[in-house]
Amino acid sequence: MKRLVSRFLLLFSMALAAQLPVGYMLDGKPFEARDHLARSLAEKVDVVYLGDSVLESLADRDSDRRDISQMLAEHLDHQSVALVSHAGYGMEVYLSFAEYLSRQPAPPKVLVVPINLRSFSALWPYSFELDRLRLAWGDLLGVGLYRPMRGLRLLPPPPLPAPKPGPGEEFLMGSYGEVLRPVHFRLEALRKLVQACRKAKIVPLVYVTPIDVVQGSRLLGPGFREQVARNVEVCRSAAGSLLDLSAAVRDPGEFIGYEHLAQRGRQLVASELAAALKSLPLDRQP
Amino acid sequence: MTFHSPQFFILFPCVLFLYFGSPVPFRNFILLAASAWFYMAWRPEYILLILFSVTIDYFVAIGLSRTTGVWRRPLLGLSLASNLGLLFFYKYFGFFAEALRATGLPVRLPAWEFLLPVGISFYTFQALSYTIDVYRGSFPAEKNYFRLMLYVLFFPQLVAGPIERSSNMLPQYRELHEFDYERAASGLRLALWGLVKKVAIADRLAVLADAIYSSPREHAGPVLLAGTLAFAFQIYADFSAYSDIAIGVARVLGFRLRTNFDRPYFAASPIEFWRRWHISLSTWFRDYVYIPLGGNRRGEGRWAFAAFTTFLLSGLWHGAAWTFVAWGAYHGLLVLLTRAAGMLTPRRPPRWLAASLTFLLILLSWILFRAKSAGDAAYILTRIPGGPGSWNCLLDRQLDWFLAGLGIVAVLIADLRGPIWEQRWPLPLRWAGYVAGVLLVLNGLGTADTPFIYFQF
Repeated sequence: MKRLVSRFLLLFSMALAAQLPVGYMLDGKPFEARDHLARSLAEKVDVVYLGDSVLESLADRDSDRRDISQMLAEHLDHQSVALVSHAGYGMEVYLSFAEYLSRQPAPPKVLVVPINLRSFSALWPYSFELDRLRLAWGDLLGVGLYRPMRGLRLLPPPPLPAPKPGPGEEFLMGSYGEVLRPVHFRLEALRKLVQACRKAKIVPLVYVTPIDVVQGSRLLGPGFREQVARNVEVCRSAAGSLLDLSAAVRDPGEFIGYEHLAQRGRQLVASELAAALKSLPLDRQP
Repeated sequence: MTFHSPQFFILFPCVLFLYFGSPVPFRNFILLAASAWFYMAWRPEYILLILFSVTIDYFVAIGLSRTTGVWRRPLLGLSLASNLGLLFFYKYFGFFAEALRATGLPVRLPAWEFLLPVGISFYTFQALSYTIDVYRGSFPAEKNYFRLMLYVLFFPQLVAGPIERSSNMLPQYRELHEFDYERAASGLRLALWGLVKKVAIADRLAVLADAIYSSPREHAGPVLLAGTLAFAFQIYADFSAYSDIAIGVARVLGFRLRTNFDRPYFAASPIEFWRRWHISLSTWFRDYVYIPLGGNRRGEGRWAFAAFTTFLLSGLWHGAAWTFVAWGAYHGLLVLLTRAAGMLTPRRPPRWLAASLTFLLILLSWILFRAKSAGDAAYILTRIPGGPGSWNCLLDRQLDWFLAGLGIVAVLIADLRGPIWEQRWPLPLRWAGYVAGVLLVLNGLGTADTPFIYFQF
């Protein structure tokens, strides 16, 4: 039996050593969000702004082609802003970024974390396990061991995708109108994110991104707005405090769909965030 | 639990250490507990069906061993009725109810829907072979209830065979199995090859076959043919992988399971194909259906009836659907026609030609097996020679098809060279092969997550 075990361990070690380059060959594409963040940290960035596609979207008619982070930077005279975003990113990915930042020698002063209320719905089946593993373990182990870990189900399973809803009421209801339970795994990630930031002396600025509450109320009745408000409160209790911009953009014309923002919507979010940032006691932070 | 699940990668080493580390009287109980765990990881309550089956068969066999008179037939009938009754209830009730409804007869059966217990067709046949053998006097009744339970429940072959015989397995549960390095290493090598076939070959082919068979009416004739070819090798790689892993895992523990596949796609006739494909099922049908129906001892007419009925039932064994019945009937006809051709023209074609023709005929049969409905099957059969449609499934996935082709070549080479051909390689090359196998499994696990095809039977 000893012989079998020793041979097996030898085979396992050889396979593990070979797995690292194989994994790199299969999944070693550049991790642009993390690399951009690393470059920004090297330049001692003050504010790191995480986000999903809402942060990047533009309307065709927009004359100002800047994203929200660039608009925010304009409002902040002496503070630099680095945007780290990717379509589909959710709170568990933000948590991995926060933990990554907490391990850096020069973390930022502030981490801006948007909450897209749709990310708590079944219409957000994204998990970015590879990105999270790379943030946690670095590229060598994260990329190399990603596939075996996924195959052996050592990574948390991705959320189950829901059937694609119809347009209008169905989409609004499925995205934002469901009751948000405090035990949702992404709220748990939010709690951990706030803790991780505090431990690393990074100030977390959590805000709820605007959604088209006017259109939602028109299609689904006033109960929609009330449910959104209740869900925001559930988020607030997880984050400790947050900036609620869920109903801040009142003109349905400023939305592309129900959550992506056109120029004036982005400007409004940027100015609200800037005001919130300026009110933060950052000087007292190291 | 399946062989390519993380739970099994934990269960098996634990069983191995516990089995060889325990005093001999406890070893069968360890296997029994592990087998129960293995099965109950899926739907725990369904183990009651196996317990029911085994309990009936145990007492029936004991009764048969003590009775010589008129009670023997009713006792056997009790075993047949209880085993086949369960199988009918869970697997065929809905099918027959539907068929009855379709006839328009004023008979209404309740619309019960049950989740098919995994492996029910396999363990039912295995249990039945025991009572029939005892009835025939070719095997003595097992006095130890737990040993009989282990015979039916033994985890390596519980859910998808090989369908074992009491004469092969029950004596092995009385043997003392000492750990043997060479035997264990050979078992692990076979299991690794099985895992590679399942994860890296069958599951890759499944993606291509599924893409085509999910919407056959969109694809051009040659694409349908490519999809059928992909399925032909998918089902072979998938099912033979299960058998390889089962045989390998059992071998590590010291047990000898029957060979289930013997290079079936090199068969030179449909009859030979069935001597090489799913051998444990073919021989089961031969011994318990074909021969009792008369076999080839009562003239050509009776032989044709026996052979055709056997294949029809074999088709029905695979699944409760008309496509499987048609698949069985098609194979029955092939066997009949092969025999007729042999009688008419005593000159045999060269083996390569016969094997190619046989493969083509088997390939067509997989259309019936894989199609979602009889309508789809008929459509594919008529469109393969050159029907119009999209070529995108071939053109957009050239790399996938290339890799699938490599997988098919690997399976065929392994078939040609035999199961231990890598043992002749130089040591570094052999170890490189093992490492490559582990890497293929580790990187392929979870990408498709396709269950073994024969689990559904």
